Amino acid sequence: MISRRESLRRLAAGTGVAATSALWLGQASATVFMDVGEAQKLLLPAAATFEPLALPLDAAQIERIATASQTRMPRRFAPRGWAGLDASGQRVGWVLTDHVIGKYEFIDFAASFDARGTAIGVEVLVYRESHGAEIRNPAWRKQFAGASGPKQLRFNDDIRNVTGATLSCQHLTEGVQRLSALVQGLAQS
Amino acid sequence: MSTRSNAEHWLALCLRRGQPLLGTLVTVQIEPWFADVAHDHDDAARHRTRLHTAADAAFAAVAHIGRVMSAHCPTSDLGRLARVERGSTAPLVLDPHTVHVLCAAQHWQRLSAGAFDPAAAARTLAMAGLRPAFTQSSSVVGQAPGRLGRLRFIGADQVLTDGPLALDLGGIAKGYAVDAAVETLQRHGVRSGLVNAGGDMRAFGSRHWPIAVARRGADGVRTAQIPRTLCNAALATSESGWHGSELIKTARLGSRRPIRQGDSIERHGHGNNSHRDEPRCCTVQAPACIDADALTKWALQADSDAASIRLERVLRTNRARLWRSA
Repeated sequence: MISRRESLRRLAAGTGVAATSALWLGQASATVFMDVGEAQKLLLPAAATFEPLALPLDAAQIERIATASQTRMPRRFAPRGWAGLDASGQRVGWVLTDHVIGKYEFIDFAASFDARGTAIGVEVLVYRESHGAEIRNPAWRKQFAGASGPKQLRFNDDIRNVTGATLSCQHLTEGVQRLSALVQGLAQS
Repeated sequence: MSTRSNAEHWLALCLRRGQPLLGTLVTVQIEPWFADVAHDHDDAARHRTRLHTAADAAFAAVAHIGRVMSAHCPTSDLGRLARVERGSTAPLVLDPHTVHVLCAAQHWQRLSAGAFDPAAAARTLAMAGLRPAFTQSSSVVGQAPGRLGRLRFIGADQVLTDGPLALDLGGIAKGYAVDAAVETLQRHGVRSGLVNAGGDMRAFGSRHWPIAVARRGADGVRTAQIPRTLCNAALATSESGWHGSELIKTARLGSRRPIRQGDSIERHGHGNNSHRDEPRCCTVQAPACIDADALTKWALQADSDAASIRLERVLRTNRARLWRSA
């Protein structure tokens, strides 16, 4: 069985629309909950400043994170991280950001960990969604026949409160576990 | 200040937060307390801190309810209830939230004459291996299970059961968590907001919040949403039938097959009707989210005319409305 992401790529190739799936889907929307700066202050209030971390992950580190978190690593796993320092310069924890697939689009999130590497909290930064199921409907796809370029995203200011479309946070939980495994390595080094 | 910039300023003062809880994404939207838009930057910053404090408390309440009523953790209240030995006379001490939801489950089971049945849901899901908390320990294997109807309540935090009682409260526990989050926000002085736990939502205050109801069309594909607004009420939706397109692929190492998206009782059918028939969808609006949840489960099972008449009467007395789609 092919994944939803693979079906989106094949469809985009079939109709000749050369763009990322997020741009191709004309009915995608993104809701910004907070930016990284606000998330850092919220998730690690004990920190006065945040120092960016260099996180070049080689194959061995990726393998270690995969084993420790018992999850398959996404192909482009490239989280961003900051070390939280208190007023005296002591490290009080870390804040990392990454993204995972929600139902059809990416969810950006931030997770914080204390100095020992224990998770403190998780906050969603950006939630994107699209009417992904319709793209398998030939009648719905006809509207894009002859389209020459990517459709524009419509960004809503209000959150679309949808009932009857439950989103599982399974992928988000696995994403946090991967970051936790990464931070455990940082805490021990 | 112009009307447009007032609206943008107002929007910037509103708070939106989202956290992964209860197996789904729980979002909280809060309007600022004051009626007039604040022009003073210092006031806005202080209000933002108060809003965050209220949202933190609401998320903490939801997380606590998710922990005590987890059907995945054997040490949760529901896990311990499923391991009570038959004939035990010692009351089981549970979290007051769990006791409240058990009481509501018993009430709805009686009122619906068994159409709402968390015990049947637990059996179905446990057989599919989706509820680790209900894997019976060696001491209770083979013992006759207890019955929800015979569960006795002693005070606010103790229950007495006649045997091991496996209950999947997934639906109404989520609605109860939403109600608890709303009450927490109101206790912190928030006048208007909306809490959404994966489609079970409740709005409070005077604002009309735009919402959408995702329904399936006759061809089984999700059609365009029907927009509605929600004001000072709760909304819940349940679907029946098997939906193959809802499979998600977990990244968990060693998993041989995809895990079902939102592996809840809806996917396996509620009560005794666990069958792969045409998907049906019921949406209920009610004053409280726990009641909206229970009524959707009952509505999915109400096939006979007598059951529908009884359901209609209960909807009226609970000031609830029902929408169905096939």
